[in-house]
Amino acid sequence: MKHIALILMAYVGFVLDLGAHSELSLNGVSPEFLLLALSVAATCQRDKSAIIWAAVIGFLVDCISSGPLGVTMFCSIAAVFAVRKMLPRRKPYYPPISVGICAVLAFVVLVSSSAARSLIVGQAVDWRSLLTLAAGGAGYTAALFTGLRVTYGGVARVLLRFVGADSFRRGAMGGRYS
Amino acid sequence: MSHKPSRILFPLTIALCLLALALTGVPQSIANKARAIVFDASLPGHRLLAVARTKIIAARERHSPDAEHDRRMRDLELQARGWQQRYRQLQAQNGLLNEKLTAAVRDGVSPYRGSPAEPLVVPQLLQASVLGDESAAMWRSGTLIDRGSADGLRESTLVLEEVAALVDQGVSAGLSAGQPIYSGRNVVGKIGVVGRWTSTIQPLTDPKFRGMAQLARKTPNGITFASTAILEGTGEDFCRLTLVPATEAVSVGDEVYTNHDDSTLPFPFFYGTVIQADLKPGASHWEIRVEPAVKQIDSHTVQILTRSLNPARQLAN
Repeated sequence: MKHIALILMAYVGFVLDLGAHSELSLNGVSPEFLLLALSVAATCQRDKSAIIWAAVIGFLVDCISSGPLGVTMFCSIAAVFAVRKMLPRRKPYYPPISVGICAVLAFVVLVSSSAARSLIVGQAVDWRSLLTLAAGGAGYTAALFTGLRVTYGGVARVLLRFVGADSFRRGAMGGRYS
Repeated sequence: MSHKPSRILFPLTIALCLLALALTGVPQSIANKARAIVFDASLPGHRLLAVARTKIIAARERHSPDAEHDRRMRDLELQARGWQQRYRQLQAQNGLLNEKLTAAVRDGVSPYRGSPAEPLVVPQLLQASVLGDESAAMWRSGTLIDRGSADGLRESTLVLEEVAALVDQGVSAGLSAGQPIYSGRNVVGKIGVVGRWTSTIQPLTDPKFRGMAQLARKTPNGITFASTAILEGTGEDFCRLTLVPATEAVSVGDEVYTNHDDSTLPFPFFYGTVIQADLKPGASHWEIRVEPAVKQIDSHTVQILTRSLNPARQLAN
């Protein structure tokens, strides 16, 4: 079920990142829907699945970026691996920690992949604008992640009341709101 | 909910990292094929997004108190752009006629009278819907359109700005399709990645964009085409015009067109205007910055310049 939800999220994220990236921007800051899916995978999936999802989502981000493939894929795998090593997932993360992970993941992946691309094509890195854009994008993505969790929690609570589904008790997004 | 850390986590991570590193070394053509497959797979989602976008815009317009005002503003903007295009078209034709006149004065009139034959290959404009939006931020590149190799598209095909009013004006002015009605139109970019059903547009400002260009100087008799050069994208808001010799006269405000001597592009299309021209002491070439005519695609459709065999010639044969 979690995998189907992530496939759907990655597909929608890909379409929105490619088709509505600038339409949804606020003051030049755009959300990163694929990195939102990456954050969900990093916080809700088991270790092995999280790494595989990081590779898939990183590859999708590479597809909509200029330059060589594999750069964001590498950065995503490394970032998710670091998160899983530093914060072993023995139980669902607290919501603030999940949101923090999302913001840090998005920021690190955006900065590292953009800088790596610049270095590969031999362009100078404009660190100030890169860090500003990445911080804005990561913040926007973390805000969406919070909205997604709250929505999921609300929907799960309503369904629990009427259906009593066990899967919602465990919680596909960490279970804190269920 | 607790679980032991997976034993294969580290080897799996190393293997996937190696795969990612290997992908960075994949040739661009293969990478573009992979991208094209993913883009094609996303087409149904983009179609849904386009429908949702249209409905949202329509609903917003219905409930906006300034809807009529906005519509009129948009119409006027379109009209103004149409007239600008018409001006550019006439200017380009004037430049071509100037060139012919200069050649006739220089070489003299041919003693043999000939009538122009029907060309074997004629240009055709293929309309494409813009599915994605262009955003240069964070290395995003390329605008997705709903035409691909199934529609006969190839890499590096020229993409022109869509101005519907221009065609109407051309027809009402007695210009026929297939004639220099195409000339003077704004270039949006080139076709980048070509999938079966989708393609991406490589904008003029893309760092990888390269195109043959020609400077056009304004004279009292209209524009005069000067030397051939290369227009390069810089990744910023402007382009660079290279290989213009120091012996040429260049000034801010000069216009840059596609190279119409190139047999594949018989008409000059408009790239942009020179905004900065520096000639350092002892330098053999000018350093020129060009402001593109189209910085961002803001219409829902673009036109792609394709070529097809002239049916008149086929019938004649």
